[in-house]
Amino acid sequence: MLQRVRLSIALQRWELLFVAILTLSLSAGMLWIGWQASQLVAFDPACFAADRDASRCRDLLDDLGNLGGFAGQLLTYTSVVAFGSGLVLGVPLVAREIEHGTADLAWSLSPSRTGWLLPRVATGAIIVVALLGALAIASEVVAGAILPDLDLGADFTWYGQRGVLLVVQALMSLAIGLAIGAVFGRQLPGLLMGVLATVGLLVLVNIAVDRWLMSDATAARFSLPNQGISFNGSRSLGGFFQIPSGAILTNDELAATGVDMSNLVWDDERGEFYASSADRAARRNLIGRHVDLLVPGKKYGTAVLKESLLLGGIALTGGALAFGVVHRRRPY
Amino acid sequence: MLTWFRLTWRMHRAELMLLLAAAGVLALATLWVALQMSATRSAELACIQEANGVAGQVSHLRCEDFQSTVEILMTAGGFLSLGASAAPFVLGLVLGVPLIGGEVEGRTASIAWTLSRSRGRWLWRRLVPVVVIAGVAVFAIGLAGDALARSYPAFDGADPGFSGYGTRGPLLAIRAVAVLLIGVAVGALIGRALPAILLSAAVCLVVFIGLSIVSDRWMRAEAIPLELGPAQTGASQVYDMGYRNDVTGEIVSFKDYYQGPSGGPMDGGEVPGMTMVAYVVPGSRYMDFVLRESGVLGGLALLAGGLAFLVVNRRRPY
Repeated sequence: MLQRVRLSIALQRWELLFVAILTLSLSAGMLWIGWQASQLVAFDPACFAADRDASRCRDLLDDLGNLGGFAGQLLTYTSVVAFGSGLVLGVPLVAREIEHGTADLAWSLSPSRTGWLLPRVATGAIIVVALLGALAIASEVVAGAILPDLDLGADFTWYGQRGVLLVVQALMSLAIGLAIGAVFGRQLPGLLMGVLATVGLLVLVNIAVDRWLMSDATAARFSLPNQGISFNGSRSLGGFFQIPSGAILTNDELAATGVDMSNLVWDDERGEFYASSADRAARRNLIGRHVDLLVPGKKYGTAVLKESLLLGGIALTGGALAFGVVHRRRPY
Repeated sequence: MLTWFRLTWRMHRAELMLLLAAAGVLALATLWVALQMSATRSAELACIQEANGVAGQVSHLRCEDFQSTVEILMTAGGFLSLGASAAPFVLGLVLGVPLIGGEVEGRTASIAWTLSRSRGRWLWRRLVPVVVIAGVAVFAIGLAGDALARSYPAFDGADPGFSGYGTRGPLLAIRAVAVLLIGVAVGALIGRALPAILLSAAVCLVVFIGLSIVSDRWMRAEAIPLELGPAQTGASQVYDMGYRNDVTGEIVSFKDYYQGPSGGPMDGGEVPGMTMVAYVVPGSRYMDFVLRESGVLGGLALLAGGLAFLVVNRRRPY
């Protein structure tokens, strides 16, 4: 077994080296920023809580804001690195052997094709989990250090760019890359198709998670304060219309009720709309109001779980497809 | 010459089909959005003119439909511009790296190099078609990007200046050729396609970050103070703001301006005799900076190409 793992690593040493350098340097950068931020907070903790408005705290808060800017930039790369790492390690696993014409020999020497593929996939997956795990921890550390007054386990800030989701994202793209590489049998076209497929799947997953979270969402009006939910730290599912009965409708659903959308009169301040200017002036015959559907921050864990389930499902499907293809395809 | 292109097509059919299809879709979609934007803006301006009597005044409610269409088109334009800025890198790397790296990795270099009169001649025949294909495809995207930038409501067909820098115009084609030649050189050195793509991407990242820092310094050094009105026209590149003393011409920073003599912040309001100015590089100088970047990239491309020829002449074919 150890020999097979060694062989898998030797065959992919360049890609592994690249992914390791990328993830570990990004992690180190984030940990350094996190350390700098925690030093700032430790210097005068009151400045980041009750004394936020005190003049002595202005420079400290500015410095933390600057660090937050750098951290935000690094965190935007984490998701790209996660998906990229999975693809770079996943695509060549089978595609390289087929492209070089070595699959023929490798598959005939192995007791079964599944037995040949399994240690390779397992090695790739373990390495991805280890490297992206480090990145996930570093991203949580830096986020916590930059936002010391927030409970990031109940807040959607930097959602998808920190924490365990990064590992799941990488595993999904590893499986997708593996499957596409097995189907195409060539590395570069496989990599291009893998990028396209990953982007397409991400869009679909995003839509599906939004739909899945609908039941957890609360309608809120941007124009009104104190509604029991804050726009900060929540996940917005988009703008909708709320009619007087309380029902929440999309643009098309509202139009389907017979409302003449082109002649509505808006009250921008209150986010309400009426059939005429006279109605608006008298605040009568309200047709509806614009609301945002917000998933509160306390549902962060639920959202992560749901997205992980979806990404995990795709990863399993991709993996199964790859094994199916390797089992049946010609080795050239 | 046609044989060179035919051979390139046969060897890189899958990559070329994917990339050219993507480039074609990107260019056509960009052009379509630009045309739609122009048409919608014309209709919107006509609507406003009809509603208010004077173009450019506050829009009437019934003209708001056009605004929402323009917003949707602008969002689509933003995504397409993102694609345009990535195109030189994707095409350059994917077409450039396997040119030599793929041959060495696939162990076909030894046959190909033996059959050719010289290795340099072999590389030249392989390089020309790929450079032409990548250059033309990205140039088409750049032209469509130009049309898109001009169609935005802020310009309405006028010169967009620095707006959309790096997402439009011939600069994209120059970038593609430079990236492609860097990819060829790295592919020749490494001799394996996928690791070479990753390394080339890292090299390009360093090169372009360095270039943006240098370009930023050039622009800062050549920024001139202009009153806010003129500074905002022609999509200038704004670097800093401050206040100018109308009598002495002295310019003070925002920080100094808002600190009163006692050191505390002033109570707001304008000080008579002081005019707000912005340090800008006027949009009319866009082409100067494009030429400078093109010059640097051209030099880099020549260096990378030269390195590729040198490596091919000297390295083992496996």
